Amino acid sequence: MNIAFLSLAQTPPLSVPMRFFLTAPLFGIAAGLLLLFGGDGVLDNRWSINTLLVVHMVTLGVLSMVMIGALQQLLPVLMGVVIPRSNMVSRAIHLLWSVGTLLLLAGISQHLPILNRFGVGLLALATLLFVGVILYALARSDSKHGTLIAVATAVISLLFTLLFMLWILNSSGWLAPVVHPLTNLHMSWGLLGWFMLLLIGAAYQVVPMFQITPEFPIAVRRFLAPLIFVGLLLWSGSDLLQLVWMGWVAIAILVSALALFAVVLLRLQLQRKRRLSDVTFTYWRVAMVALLTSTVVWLVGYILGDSRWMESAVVIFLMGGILSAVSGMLFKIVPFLVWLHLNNLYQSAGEWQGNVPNVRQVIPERYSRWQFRVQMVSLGILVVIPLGQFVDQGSRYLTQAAGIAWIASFTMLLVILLLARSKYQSVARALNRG
Amino acid sequence: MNRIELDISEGEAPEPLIRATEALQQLPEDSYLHITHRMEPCRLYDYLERNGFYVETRRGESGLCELFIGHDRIDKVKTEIVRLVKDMARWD
Ligand code: HEM
Repeated sequence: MNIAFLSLAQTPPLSVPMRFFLTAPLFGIAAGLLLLFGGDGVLDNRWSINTLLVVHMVTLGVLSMVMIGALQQLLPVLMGVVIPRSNMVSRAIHLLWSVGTLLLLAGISQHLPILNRFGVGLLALATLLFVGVILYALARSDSKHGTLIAVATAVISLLFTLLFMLWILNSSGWLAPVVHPLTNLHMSWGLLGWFMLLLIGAAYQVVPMFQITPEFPIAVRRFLAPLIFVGLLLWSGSDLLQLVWMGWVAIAILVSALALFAVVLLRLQLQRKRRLSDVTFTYWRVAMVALLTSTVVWLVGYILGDSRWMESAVVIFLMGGILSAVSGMLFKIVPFLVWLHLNNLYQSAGEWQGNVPNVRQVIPERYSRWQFRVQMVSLGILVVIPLGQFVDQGSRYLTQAAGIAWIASFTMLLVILLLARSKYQSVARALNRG
Repeated sequence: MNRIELDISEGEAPEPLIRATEALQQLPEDSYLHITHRMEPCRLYDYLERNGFYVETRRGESGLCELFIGHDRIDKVKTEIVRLVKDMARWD
C-alpha cells in the first residue's frame, strides 16, 4: 500500500522554502545593524534614507522573503495546488529577489539611480515570475477553499505595490526617497494587500491545523479577502480621483475588515479544543492584538491629521502584527515540513514512520520561547521610541537598543532554522546510507 | 456491517493524518470508518484516492466535519455510506 501523504510530483523539495527562510533573518540582522550604527534619526523622520532602508530590509528582505518561500511549499502541501518546475522557479525567484533587494538598498543608500533601476528591474522580474506561477497554479486547482481567493488577491496586490512604485520612480528620475504622494498607495497595497491578505489566507489553513481551533466561519473565508481587495481599490480610487467620500467608505471597509479578522481569530483561539498554548499560539495572539491596536492608532492619527500616530500604526502593524504572525508560523510549518519530507523519504524507502523525529523535536519549545521573548523586547522598545524625544538623546538610545534586540532575535531565528535543517539532513543522510 | 469510530478533532497536525491513515490500513473490507475532525482534512483525500477508498464528507450536528470512508470496490459499504449521509448537511 502506498502510504505517502504527498504525491512526489506535486511536492517541491524542502530546499524550495528553506532557501527563503534562511535568507530572511540575514536581512533582519542587517536592519538591526543599521538601527544600531545608523547614527541619529534612523527612525526619526519618515522620509530619511535610513528609514527607507530599514523599512525595505524588513518588508522585502524579511517578510516578503518568508512569504514567497512559504507559499511555494504550502500551496502544494496543504492545498494540493501543483506548481510547475518548482525547484527551478524557486531558485530563480530567490536569486532575483535577493539580488534585486540588495541593489535597491545600495541604490537608495548611495543615491545611485542606476542601481535603483537595476534593483527594481530584478524585483519586477521576480514578481512577474512569482505572481504568474502562483496565479497559473491557482487557476488549475479545483479546490474552492477561501485560502485560494485570499492568496490570489494577495499576489495581485503585490503586483499593484510594485506598479505604483514603478510609476513613482519613473516620474522622479529613479532617485529615492521621493516623498511622493502616491507612496501612500504603494504602502497600502503592500501592507494591507500583499501582507495582510496573505496572512489571512494562511491563517484559514494553519490556525485550525496547528492551534487546534475550529475552522474560520465560512462567510469570513468567502468574503473577507475580496472585501479588503475592494476596500483597497476604493482607497486608490479616492486618492487618484480626489473623492473624499470614497476614501471614507474605503476606510470603513478596511478598518472593520481588519478588526473583524483579528477578533474572529482571537475568538477561535479561545474555542480551541485543547488548552495548550505554545509559542506559535502566543505569537498569533500578540499579532492580533497588535493588528487591533494599529487600526485604532491609525484612525486616531487620520482623524487628528497627525502623521506621527499613523507612522506608529505602521510600526505596530508591521513589527507587532505581520512579523509576529510570520515568526509564529515559521515555528510550526518548518517542523511540519521537515516531518512530512522525512516521512515521505521513509515511505519511498519502503519503511513506515521509521526514526522520523516528531514535530516537537525539530524545534524544541524552549528555543522558540527564548526567541519570542527577545523579539517581544524589540517590539516593546520600538513602540516607545517616539517617547524618546522627551529625554535628551532618548530616541537615539532607544533606537540602538531596538537594533541590538533585532540582531539578537533574528540571529536566534537563524540558528533555530539552521538546527531544524540540519536535523532533516542528518536523518535523510542516515536513511540514504541505510 | 461494522462502523469504526475515530475522533481526531483534538490532534495537532500532523497527528490527525497519522491516526487516520493508521486506522485506514486496518480497515476491514466489510466496515466503514467514521472520522470526526474539527476541520476538513484536505491532505487525506489524495491518500484516499490513491489507495482505493470511497469517501463522503458532511457537517455533523455539532458542526464538526464528519467523514465516512470505505473500500471503493465494496459496493455494499458504499451503498450504506450513501444512505447514511443522505440527509446530512454539506460541509462547505
Ligand atoms: C517591489 C519592490 C519595491 C520597491 C522598488 C519599493 C520602493 C520604495 C520606494 C522608492 C519608496 C519611497 C517612496 C517615496 O520616497 O515617496 C518606498 C516606500 C515605502 N515602501 Fe516600498 N518598495 C517595494 C516594495 C514594498 C513592499 C512589498 C512593501 C511592503 C509593505 C513596501 C513598503 C513601503 C513603505 C511602508 C514605504 C513608506 C516608507 C516610509 O514612509 O518611510 N515596499 N518603497
